[in-house]
Order: sequence, then structure tokens, then C-alpha cells
Amino acid sequence: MENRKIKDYEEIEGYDIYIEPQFRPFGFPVGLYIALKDGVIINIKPEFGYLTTGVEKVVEGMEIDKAIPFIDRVDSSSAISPELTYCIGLEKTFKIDVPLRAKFIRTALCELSRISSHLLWLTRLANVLGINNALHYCLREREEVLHLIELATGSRLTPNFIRVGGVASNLSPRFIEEFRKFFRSFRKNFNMLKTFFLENELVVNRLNNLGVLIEEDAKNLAITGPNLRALGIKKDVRIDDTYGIYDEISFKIPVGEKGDSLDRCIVRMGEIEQSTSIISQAFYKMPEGEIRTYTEDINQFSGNTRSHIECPHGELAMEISIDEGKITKLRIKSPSYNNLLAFSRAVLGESVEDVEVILTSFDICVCEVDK
Amino acid sequence: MKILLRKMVHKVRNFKKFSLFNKLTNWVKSTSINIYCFTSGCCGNEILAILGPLYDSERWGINFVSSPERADVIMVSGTITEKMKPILEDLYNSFGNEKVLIAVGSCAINGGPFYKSDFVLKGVKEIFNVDLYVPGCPPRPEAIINAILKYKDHFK
Amino acid sequence: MILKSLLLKTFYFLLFLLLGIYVTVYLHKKILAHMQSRRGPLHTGFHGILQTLSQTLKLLLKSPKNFLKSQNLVITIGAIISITFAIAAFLLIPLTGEIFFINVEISLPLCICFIVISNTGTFLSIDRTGLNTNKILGLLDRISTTIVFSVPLFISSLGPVTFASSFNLFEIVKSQGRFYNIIYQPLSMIVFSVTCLLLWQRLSLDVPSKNTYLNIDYLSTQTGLNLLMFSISEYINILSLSLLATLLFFGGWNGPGFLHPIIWTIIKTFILQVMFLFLYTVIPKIKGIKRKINISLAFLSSLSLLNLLIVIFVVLYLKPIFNL
Repeated sequence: MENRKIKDYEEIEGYDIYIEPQFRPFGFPVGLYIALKDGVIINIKPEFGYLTTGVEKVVEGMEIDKAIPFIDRVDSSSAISPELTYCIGLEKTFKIDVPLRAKFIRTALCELSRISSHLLWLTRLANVLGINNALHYCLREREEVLHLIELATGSRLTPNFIRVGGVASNLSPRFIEEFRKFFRSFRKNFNMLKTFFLENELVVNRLNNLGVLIEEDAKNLAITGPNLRALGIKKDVRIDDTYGIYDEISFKIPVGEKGDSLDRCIVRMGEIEQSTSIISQAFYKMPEGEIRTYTEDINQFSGNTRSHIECPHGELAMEISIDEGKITKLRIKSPSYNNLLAFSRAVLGESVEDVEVILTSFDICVCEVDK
Repeated sequence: MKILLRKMVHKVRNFKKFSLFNKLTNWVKSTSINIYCFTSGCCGNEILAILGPLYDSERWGINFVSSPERADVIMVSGTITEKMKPILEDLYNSFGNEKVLIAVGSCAINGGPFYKSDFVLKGVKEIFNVDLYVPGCPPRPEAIINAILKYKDHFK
Repeated sequence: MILKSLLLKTFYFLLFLLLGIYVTVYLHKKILAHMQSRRGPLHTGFHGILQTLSQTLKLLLKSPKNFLKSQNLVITIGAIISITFAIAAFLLIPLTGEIFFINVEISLPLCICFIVISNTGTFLSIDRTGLNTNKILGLLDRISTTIVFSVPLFISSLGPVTFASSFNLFEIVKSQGRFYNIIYQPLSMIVFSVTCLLLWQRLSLDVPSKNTYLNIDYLSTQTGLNLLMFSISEYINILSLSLLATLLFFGGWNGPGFLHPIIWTIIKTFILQVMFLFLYTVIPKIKGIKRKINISLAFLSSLSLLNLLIVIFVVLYLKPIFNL
């Protein structure tokens, strides 16, 4: 037993500390090799690939509709966003019209899963910082969001809900009732959560100027999403290359200033607030009508598509080749992989105790890194 | 004489079965359950959820510990890949004498949706003896709690 | 005759200590759970009252077989040091004017010294079985916490000492007959309780599922008796630190006469412990030696030194005038 680990040690020279992957709780298997000099990190090497499932290979040769549940499992914290990327790409090239109501339902569910993903991230941050109360309050709010997603789609984490040309099922009247109840309580509860993180002097001092990501690094590593917006760069696929109904809805994009952990925290907190306002607007404007257009010649499609959307971690892009209704090639560009590389740049020059905090502040989903 | 001896042996055996020490150990084992979680993927999120206020797992004395040496139950959840296999074997070996293993999620049961993949193990049962299976992809938190309570009822 | 009375006294004090620890562990669990909108232990006995007992027995049953292996032996020595000095520190503290175990002239500094020594017992718990180097980081963190925060703890306790002009805890409580020390020197009280809070590590006996540093837990591969001794000594320490805080700043057993003095001590200690618990769950852990030095040596120590200067001025010039 011990021989393997000692061997691992000797293989990679020049590193002082090895943090094993299984010691990170709750689904975060990433090993870290850390090199130190005078108590300061000079080099870090993340070891990943412990979750490689090979979705891109498994999906090959499948029919278009059957691949959706597999693509679900790419992202464990918000599974609806890879589905949406896949369907949007196919609809764009094969010119399938999506009913307006389906677009509204898609947007509402995407934003709900964005809230749940960010709340999971907040839970992790609270866990690492050691604020026990905030951890449980975050989990409580997350349960309510997951309950809403379950009412609409039938599953808590892996919905399998979006189809090519619409969505799988209509929203029940009970969902809208429950949503109104949730919306009333969530604003108040979320403000309380904010006090735990942003109005607590000790937390703010801890996160301030910690793990600063330089703009040059961010550009070289192609960082997207909240981590880029924390630098003050206003880039969002929802506005730059709009999809769905985001052009009909007014919302702000929260940006930070320096790109440290505190800014990343502020940006994600702001995104949760914006998401709630997007959902309420979507419900206010939602028309009645069809939820899916059925295309009969879906089995005769062939061609290449490309699509990208804004998922909670950043820009999620897909490239799909289809031959006679069957997938021949699928490539996924996941934002978490770039975020992990960005972490290994941002952590340089910090002390060892802060590695965990900086790693969680980047919101990395390991399922997405390894695929 | 033989009959008497048999009776004696029977009595001794019965005594062992119902002795105070045995009762006490069973009570202890059923009321405080230490679980080591080996998680990956989305099942990890559901295990995190059972700590929370809605499914408060502390009610039954369920604790999640940080090392297999301190645990009674090892809970394997999520996709187990070939790269993960040696680590899992190490953990299983450093686990105590009475090994109880719960496989959570369809990935841990038989590979789940990725059973065709080359990187993924076709379930934990290929390497170790599994005591309880919790189906679902991912299973609901109630199902995970139910599995732990099944383990707890085993001692009554 | 003397021996018999001494044995009886020891027995009563240890009984009080064990009961106190049991009740505090249970109440901590319950209060913490209700703060986090949960229920806490519920199904073991009446409202989970036997949960702590079952967890303690579990640790006893899980003792490792190779107890005398050299590696384990070092850890065991550390655990024994830890628990002996914790009990010794507790026995030095008087509960009321009549109920006390031993009366030493310099009981306050001796007590604080014992608490610090008992914290150093954990230094011996270096464990290389897992080869996870992260554990050693956790241990270094613990060492730095103990060393850095014991300085302001000692300086802030000198305020009441100067006011009573004695190191004896009886004298200190007697000096607070009219007004408690919290009115005279709130600065010192704040520093003392903050350092108590930061010294408190809360080992894994109580709420293991919510252990915030699962991966940096330096005792993560410890089981059985060693872990039990470490965690119990931790609880004794926090009990005796809050008892010391009541004696130094809240008037100890002084109080209205309709209740027995010991009940006043227990009530005040309990309120302080709940305060500690509340603060513990809201504020984050302080990590990193630089931050610790900034907080303890630069901020807390200088505050308590300022307080000490004010107290010396009051004692020298104002006390004779106003007959305090």
C-alpha cells in the first residue's frame, strides 16, 4: 500500500507537498503537487483525470435524442446547461423553430440551475472558511431551488428535460404556485447569506487580495465566465452572442475590479440576484402555447454544428458532427478545465494554508474537467 | 452425561448470544455510525445534501469521518475509473476488520450510463464484496439515508 | 482520615468534571443544530441524550490492536500529557469559597500554564501512516495557534491580578465584591474571551460530519483511546477557560443570596460557553502564521498591555482617593 505512494512521490521531483485526491470531501478528486520556497508556493501541478468517463466516445453512433441523458452527466452541478448547448446547436443548423413558451421555460430552468450551482459553490466556500452556520443556511436554500427544479423536470440533479425543438413537458400550475412562495422567501434569506460573507470583516479580510488572477494570464488561458468578470472585463455569451430570450429581458452583468477571491465571491453573489430577477421576468412575460415542434425527418439530418452558451462556470461550447441522424463526433470545451489552469497561476506567491480557499473560489466542477 | 454436556454447551452459547457485552456493542454500533465517503461526480452532491437541514443525518448519529481507520462503513459513490482504482484499493485495505461497503449510484453498481467506456470500472463489485446497493442516477438523499438505516437495523 | 477525605474530594471533583463535559457536549450538539435550523441527535435516548455516550463507547471499542507500536506509543504519551495537565488545570480552579480542591498562592498563572502545556500534548501526534503531507500542515497550524495565542491570554489575565494585587483566584474574586471586573476593564475581558475562542480547536468527538478541515485534520488517522483522550482534554480545557473567565471578569460565585453560590458559577459559565459557541459558528477559522501574528501579537497583546497600564494607573493613584 505505502509503496505506491512513495513511488508517486519520487516520480515527480521538485515538489514538497502532495495532497491526495481522495482527501477532498464531496466529489472533488483533484490531487495537488505543491513546491514551496520560504513558505511561499512557487509551483503547483494539479493532477486530474480521476473522473474521466469518456462521454465524447460513448455518445458516438447514438441517435440524436438518445444522447441527451449522457450529455447531462458532463456537468454535475448544473446539468441542464450541456443539454441546452447540444439542442441549441442542432436547432441552429437544421433550422428548427422553437416555440416561444419553450424558450421561456428553458431560460427559467437554466437560471434556476445557475442559482443552485452558485449556492453549492457558496456551501463549499463556507465549508473551507469554517463558517458552520452559513454552510447549513446555503444548503437549506439550495434544497428549495432543487425542489423547484424537481417539480418542473422530475429529477433533482440530472433533469434530461430539453429536447431538440422544445422541452419535454409543460410546467404544472403547482410549480408556479411554489415558485411564488419561494421567490418571496428567497430574497430575504439570500440577504442574510450575504451578511455572512460580504459584511463579515474577518471573511472580507481573508478573501481580499487573495489569489489575484492577472489579466494577461486570463487572456492566455482563455478564462470565461464569473472568473473573467471578476477582473472587470464585461464578457457574457448571454449578451454578446445572444440565444433564447435573453434579448427580451433586461438584466445587469455584475463585474469586479481586481480579480481576487473577494471579487469572485461578489460577482457570483450578484449573479444569483440577477438570476432571480430574470426568472421573475420570464414568468411575467411567458406566453401560452405549444412547448415543442416535432420534426419527422430528424433521422435524415447530417452536417456539422457549433454552439456555445453561458453556463455557471463559464462559456460551454460544443462541436457536433451528425451523419444521417447519428452522432459521429462530439467535442466539448469545458470552462472548468481552463479555470483549473487559472488556479495554478493565481495561487503562485500565496502561502500553503490558502490553497483550499483559492481552489474553491474558482468554482471548478471536476466532472467537467475530466469529462 | 452427554445430554447434560450438550445442555451446558447450549446454555453457554445462548449466554454468549444474549450477553450484556454483546448487547452493548450492538447498541453502540447501531446508534453511532461512522461513514467514510469516497465520492466523485454528482452523487457527492447528494451526500452533501443529507448533512443539511432538510435531511439532517445527525438525528440517527450518522457521522462522516475523514479516514477509513475511524469508519464502520465505506460508502463508494460515483464513477470509479481505472485511475481511481488503486487509491480505492488502498483505502479498502486500511479499513478495519469488519468491512461494510455500500455502493451508491448506478455508476458504482455496474458502471451506469458509461458501462461501454474503456476508462470506467463496471461497478465496485468487480473488486470488492458489496453489502448494500443504492440504485439511482444519482439516488435521492432519502434513498441513501434508507440504506444507512438498513445497516442500522441489521444489529437489532 | 485525611487520605479518605482527599480521595472523596477527588472523586466528587472528577464526577463533576465528567458530568460537566457530558452535559456540555450534548448541549453543544443541540444548540449548534438549532442554530443551523436542524434538530441534532434525536433518536438515541430521549432527544438524543445518549448519543455522546454511544460515541464515546464507540471510540473505546475501536482501539487499535498494535497499541504499543512505537509510532502509536508516542501519540499515546502525547495524549496522556494532554489529559493529565488538563485535569490538573481544572483542579486548581475553585468553584465557590468553600468548594475547592486545592488552594495555591499562585493558582491563576499555574492554571494557565497547565492549559498551555496540555495543548502542547498534541504536538506529539505526528502520524506518517497515510503519507498525506497535508496532515503535517494541520499539525503545524495547531502548534502556531497554541504558541501565538497563549501570549495575549496571559497578559490579559494580568489586569484583574493587578487590581486584586494577588495571583490567587480567591483574592481576585473577593476583590469583585461590589463591582465586577467587566465594568472596570472590559478591554481585558474582550481580549481574554477572544483568545479562548481562538485556542479552541474543537476536535472530532462532537460534530465530525461538519469538521471543516476534513483533509487537514492532523488527527485524521487516529482512532480509539488516543482520540478520545485528545478530545476530552480539549473539552476540559474549554470548560476551565470559561470558568477562569467567570472568576476573573464576572465576579465568580458572587451574586444575589437566594441561590447557592455554586449555581451562580455554573450559570455564568454556561452563558459564556453558549456565547463562545455562537461566535465559533459565525466567524471563520484563522489560518496562516502571518495573520495569526498580526492578530495576536500586534493587536490583542497591545490592547491588553494598554489595559494593564490603565489598571496600574488606577491602582496607584485613584484607588487610595476613592477607596475602591
